[in-house]
Amino acid sequence: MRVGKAAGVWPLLAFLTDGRTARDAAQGHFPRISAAFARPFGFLALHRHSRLVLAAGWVMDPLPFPAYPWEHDE
Amino acid sequence: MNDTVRAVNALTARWARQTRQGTVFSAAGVWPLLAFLADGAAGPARDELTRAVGMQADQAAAGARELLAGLDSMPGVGAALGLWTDRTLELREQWAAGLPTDALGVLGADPAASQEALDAWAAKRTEGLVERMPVPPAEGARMVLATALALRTDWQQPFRETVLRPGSGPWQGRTLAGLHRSSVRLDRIGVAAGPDGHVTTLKVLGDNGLDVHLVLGAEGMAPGQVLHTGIGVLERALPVTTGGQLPYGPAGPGVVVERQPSVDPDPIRLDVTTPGFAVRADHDLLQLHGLFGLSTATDAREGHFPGISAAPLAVGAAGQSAVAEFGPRGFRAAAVTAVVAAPGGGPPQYRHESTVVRAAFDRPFGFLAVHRESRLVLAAGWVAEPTVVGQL
Repeated sequence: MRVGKAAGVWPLLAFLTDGRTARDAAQGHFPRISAAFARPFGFLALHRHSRLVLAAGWVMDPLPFPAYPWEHDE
Repeated sequence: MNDTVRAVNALTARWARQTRQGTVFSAAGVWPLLAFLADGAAGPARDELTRAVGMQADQAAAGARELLAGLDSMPGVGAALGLWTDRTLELREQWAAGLPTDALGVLGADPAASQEALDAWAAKRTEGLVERMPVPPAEGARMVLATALALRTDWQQPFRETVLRPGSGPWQGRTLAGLHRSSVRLDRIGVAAGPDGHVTTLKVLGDNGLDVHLVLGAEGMAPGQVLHTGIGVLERALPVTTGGQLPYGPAGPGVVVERQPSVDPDPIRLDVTTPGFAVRADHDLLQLHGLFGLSTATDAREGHFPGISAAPLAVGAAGQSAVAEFGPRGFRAAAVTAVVAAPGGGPPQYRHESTVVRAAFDRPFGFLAVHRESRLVLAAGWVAEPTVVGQL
C-alpha cells in the first residue's frame, strides 16, 4: 500500500472507482467499515514523523463504564 | 536520528515479544541507560550491552544523547536523565561529562532520604503519573542512573463515550467504557498479514504529532505476536490493506465491511469502537537480563564498568514503572526507568571460566544481533521461543 500525501484520498478513490461499489451506490447502498476492539488488544504510542515508539502495551482489563480516572484531575 | 530510532524500535519489538499479560512499557526509556552503560562497560558486559542497544558501544552514548534531545524536542513529550552517586564514588570525567543530566545528586547515608529525593524527581518529571522510583536505592548502592519520560496528546477528533458490551470473547458480559467515533478517513484502519497471523491496526492521531496505534490480532494469536506484528506494520515491513481496499464481509480481526441503504449519497465511513483503558506496570528488567544485555553486568564478583569509574561496579537492580491512559479526549503515558549500580568486587577477569559459561545463557542475542541489520530482521526474530528467557 502506498502511503504519502495522498494517503487519505487514495483508498477512497480506489473504493469509488471499484465497479461493484459504484453499482451499490447507484442502488442507494453505501459501504460502511466498522471496527470493534472488543477483546484484548495492543497499543503503540509513537512520534508520527520519526516513527519512534515511545510506549507500548497490552490491554487486558479495560475501564468499566463510565468512570475515567482523569475526570477528577480537571 | 534514524539509526537510533531503528535501534530503539528493535528493542521495543523484542520486548513486545515477551508480552503475556496486561502491561505498558517504554523501550525508549530503557535504551539511553543501556547505551550509557555500554559506553562505560568492558569485556563480555560491553558485548552484551552492545547487542541489546543494537549500536556499537563507542557510538552508543552519542546515540543516547541524540535520543534524549530528540525526545525532549518533540511537542507533548518530556524526557530527563538523572544521576545520583554515593559521596565517595569518583566517576570518569569523560563518561560523566557525556551525560545530559537534568538532575545530579548524592546518595546520602540514609537510604530513605535518598529514596524520597529520587521519588520526588520521578513524580516531577512524569507530571505525577509515576510517583516512585521503580527500584529503591538500596543500602550500599553506589550509583543510580535513571530516565523519566512523559507524553501527552489530545485527539484530533475526540471519541464519543458510549457503553460497550462485547458479545463474545473474554470481555463478554462486561459493561465497558466504550469510545466510539465515525469518520471518512478510511486510511486510519488497516489489516496486515504477518507470519503469526492477521492483525488490524487503527491509527488514532493526536494533535501534536503523536499517534497511538491500536492493534487487534486474529483469535488465538498470543499478545507478543500481535504487538510484534503491529510494530512490523508501523515500520512498514509488512504489507497492509487499508480501509478503502478491504473486501465486503469480515475483512480482518474485529473489522466488517457492510452495505447500508441510504437515502442520501453518504461518503464511505469508518466506525470505530474501543474501550478506554488505564494500564500500569512495574518491570524488573533483570528478569529479562538477556534481552537488556544485563547478564554479565549483574555478576557482582567483579566490576564491569571501568569506563564509568575506577571503582569496580556491577548492576545491582534495574526496573521500570510505566503508566498509560487512553480516554475520549486523548492519551497520556509516562515511564521511569532506573539502573542501580552496586559494588562489583575485584578487577574484571574477562577470561574467567564462569564468565564464559554465562555467555552461553545469551542465546537469544544470536538472533537479536541479526535483528538490527534491516527491517526484515523482525521476521528473523520470530524463530525464537519467547520462553527461552524465562527458562534461564
